[in-house]
Amino acid sequence: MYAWFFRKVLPGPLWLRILTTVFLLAAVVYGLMEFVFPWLSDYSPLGEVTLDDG
Amino acid sequence: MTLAGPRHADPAQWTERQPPARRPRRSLGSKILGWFGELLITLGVLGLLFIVWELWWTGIEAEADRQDSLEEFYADMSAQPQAAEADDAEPAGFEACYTLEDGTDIGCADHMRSQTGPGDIMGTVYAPRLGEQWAAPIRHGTSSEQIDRGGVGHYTETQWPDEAGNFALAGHRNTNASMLGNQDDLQSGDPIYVVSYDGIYVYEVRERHVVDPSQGEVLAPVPNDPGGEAEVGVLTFTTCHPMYSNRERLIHHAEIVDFVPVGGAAPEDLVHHQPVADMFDAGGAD
Repeated sequence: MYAWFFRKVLPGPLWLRILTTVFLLAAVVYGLMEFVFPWLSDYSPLGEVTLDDG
Repeated sequence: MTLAGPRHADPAQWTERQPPARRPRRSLGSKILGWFGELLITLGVLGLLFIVWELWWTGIEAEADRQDSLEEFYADMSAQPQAAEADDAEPAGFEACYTLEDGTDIGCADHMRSQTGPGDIMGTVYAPRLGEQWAAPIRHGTSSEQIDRGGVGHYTETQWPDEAGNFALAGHRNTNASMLGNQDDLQSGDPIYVVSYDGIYVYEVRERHVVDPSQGEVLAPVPNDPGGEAEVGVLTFTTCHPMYSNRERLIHHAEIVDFVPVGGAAPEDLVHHQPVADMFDAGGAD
């Protein structure tokens, strides 16, 4: 899947494809950290520190 | 004796040579297995990234928020004439809201009680045991909007420092700058200070409990005695327990022992915090 993406989808010579890969990875990680995980954390128990009232 | 020519010179051997290497064709099943494997690896990496985010990334923003909040809180000092002139003036008289058994008057927390809006900081908690520079801004409320920003949140249904009852605060243990990450270091007798524009409320750690998240009675005016009538002020810290888990809650109760009005003598273990030294009498520093 990734090999196919790297060989067939990404354009340009090897160095450009490596560069594009690094850039894409960084973009994906940033998107996860800033948008996906904050949304997901509502379902994570680790951040809960309060006591139920009553 | 005849010399044999090089192998490639013999046309009869040419057919033995394979065409230039082509990777063997993978069967469909092998391809599907490969994709499935890559998918699993991807999920694993995503899971690890989520842990990195939760334990580390959330702390960066929260820590920045915490420092901004502290600065903002103390920037109000010039707007508080009493606080701004504290260094030259005798401690102003203050209105006592109640009196401890030993006769210590506890001042009213009018300013703190007014700071309940979304961006407001009610005051700052200092617990020298948790670090020389440890300072937690207090926000009104314990939802993520308040406690995810570094610092601690005040359980809105609990009492205030200027009345008998429970002043309960929640903070993160492992995430969002982990304000109460080291809460378990607190020992019986340790001082905890709540600094506000009303003065310093001085507490002493008394009890440690580990409870279920459902045991809300630790937030009762008389902790663990719901329905009991409070006669003394208690500060309660609550956080997750054990580390990296959400199974239980770690609770520390501290009891109020003193009150210092603005301009009064700052506790010795707080004078290295510049804003506190400015607002209160820092002893030899003058």
